[in-house]
Amino acid sequence: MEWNLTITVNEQAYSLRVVQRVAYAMAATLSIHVKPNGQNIDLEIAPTLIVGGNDSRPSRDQAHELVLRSLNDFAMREQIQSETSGLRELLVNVALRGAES
Amino acid sequence: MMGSALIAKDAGYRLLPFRFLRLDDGNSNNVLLTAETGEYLFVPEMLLNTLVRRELDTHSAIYKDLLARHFIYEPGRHNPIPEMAAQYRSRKSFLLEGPALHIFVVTLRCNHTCQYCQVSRAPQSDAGHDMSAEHASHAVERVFESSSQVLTVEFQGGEPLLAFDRIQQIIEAVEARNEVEKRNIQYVVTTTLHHLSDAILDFAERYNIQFSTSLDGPAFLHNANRPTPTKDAYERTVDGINRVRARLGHDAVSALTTLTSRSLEYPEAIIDEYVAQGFSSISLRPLSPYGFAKTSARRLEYSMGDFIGFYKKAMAYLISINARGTFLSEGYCALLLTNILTPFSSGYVDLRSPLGAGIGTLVYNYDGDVYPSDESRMLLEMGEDGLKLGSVKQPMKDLLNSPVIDLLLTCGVAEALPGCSDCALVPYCGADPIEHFARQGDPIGHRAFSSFCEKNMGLLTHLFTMLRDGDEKTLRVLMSWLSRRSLGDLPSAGYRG
Repeated sequence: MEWNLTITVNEQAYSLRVVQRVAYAMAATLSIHVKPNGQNIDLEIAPTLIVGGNDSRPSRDQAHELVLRSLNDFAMREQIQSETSGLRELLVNVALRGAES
Repeated sequence: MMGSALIAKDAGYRLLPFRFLRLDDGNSNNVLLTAETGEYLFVPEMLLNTLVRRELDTHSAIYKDLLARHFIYEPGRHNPIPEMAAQYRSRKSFLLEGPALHIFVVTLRCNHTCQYCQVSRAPQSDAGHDMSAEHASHAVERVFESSSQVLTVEFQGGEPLLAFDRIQQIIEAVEARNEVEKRNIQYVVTTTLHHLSDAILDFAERYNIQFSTSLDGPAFLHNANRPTPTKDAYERTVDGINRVRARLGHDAVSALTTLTSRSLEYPEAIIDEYVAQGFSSISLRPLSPYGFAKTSARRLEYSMGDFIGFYKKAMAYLISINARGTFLSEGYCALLLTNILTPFSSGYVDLRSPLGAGIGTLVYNYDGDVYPSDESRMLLEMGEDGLKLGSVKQPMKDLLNSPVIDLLLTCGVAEALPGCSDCALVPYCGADPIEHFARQGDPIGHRAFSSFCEKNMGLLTHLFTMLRDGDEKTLRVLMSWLSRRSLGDLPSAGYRG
């Protein structure tokens, strides 16, 4: 059975960057239309139907849970990224010094 | 807000860059954390939250584990960057050298008519598909323009033994040049072994040539996969294996398995065949989206999910026969284990980031054109010549400054690709823009629809699950594959991740 679902999130809690990453990561299972809406972002969600998508189609409730979990995971990744900003680049620079020659 | 800021400020530790992945398998340690250095740890979900909020008990065992494995550091007490940089440099050491793998496609001619052929071929008697002596001489010049001290010169086809005179010319020219260069050079011929002769074996013995052949399983599978006019491909290959071993030693020949949809029904029979033929390694490879395999895909291909299901069955069987005393490792698993459990890269070109094509490999095609990988010249046979680097007459510097290399590098750093940049498995995986171009028409590709991603995610998560949950027997078998030692030669204390 087909279904549609809209989840609205506040941009203070979940940035557009986080929401876009969720839409990308879940594309095989869920088709997510990202719509900025003032201070909020709407996620219009439907199961992915195209060839190449995942065979297993989640129910509406499962999709709701999956998207919320993914939002929280990507928000946490963004927090880790923010707190470690610059360290990855520093590490690569120190490690590969001389590799360009 | 203020409270959490104070907690963060007062915490004795800071985060280092790391990634995480949930394994929805019901285990309490269901979150895999991976550090930039490739170190990893399984933790419960709650601990991930506590870690990121910087509320860990600094006296706990897990805190010490996270500190030791470079997920956190203590500012003012210890600078982790120098030791992490040393580990990172080891894992990326392939970047410090020039191309080490040089593939000579000496002919496209072949006596087989395999429908799934990944490399494309021409009829055995067809003229115009052999490398010229002039192109071969230029290619040898290119090999020595690489700064790599360790070089592999590999001969492919078609069936390269049909152009054995060209192989002789190339190896003799390399040997002559190497009198001065003093590089460490390994020769490999990828062949069906159907055209072996005493003269070829004499030459192979003189120059310590390794043979790599294809064995797809027992006779009924191999002969169905690899039709020849005489319908005896299996018998001739096995005879070739025995002749090489009798003359050059048991380890002078290795074998790869190509899996058609029919093969997926017979994991145990394929493995039993490798045991019967006395091999110590088997490589279970899915079909590639290149050459004739692409045009025959509708009949021959299967989903990556089917392959992963097959692979898991095969792995379970391999573990059981190894535990009973037969040493037979799965080649791809051994490479992944090297990437996971050692501070070094496996060196395998498909599991490199930045990509192995061009940076680590050059292919000299029979017509004198140069490609960054075997797969890119296979695309040529499908009518796509956009991945050509240039001519074998151009110096390597020009070839590596080609716009194709620029494009591949732009799309070939996994840590910077959409999807991969957030993936906890990226320290062990690679970037393959050429496969994404072949399958999706886009060298970056969409990770959610990528077979390359599905395969490596599937196999890596299976392997991590085995490392987390495996019994002593399973872990000892995996360690024996990693160390290439039989179970009986392993020290008794097993590894616990």
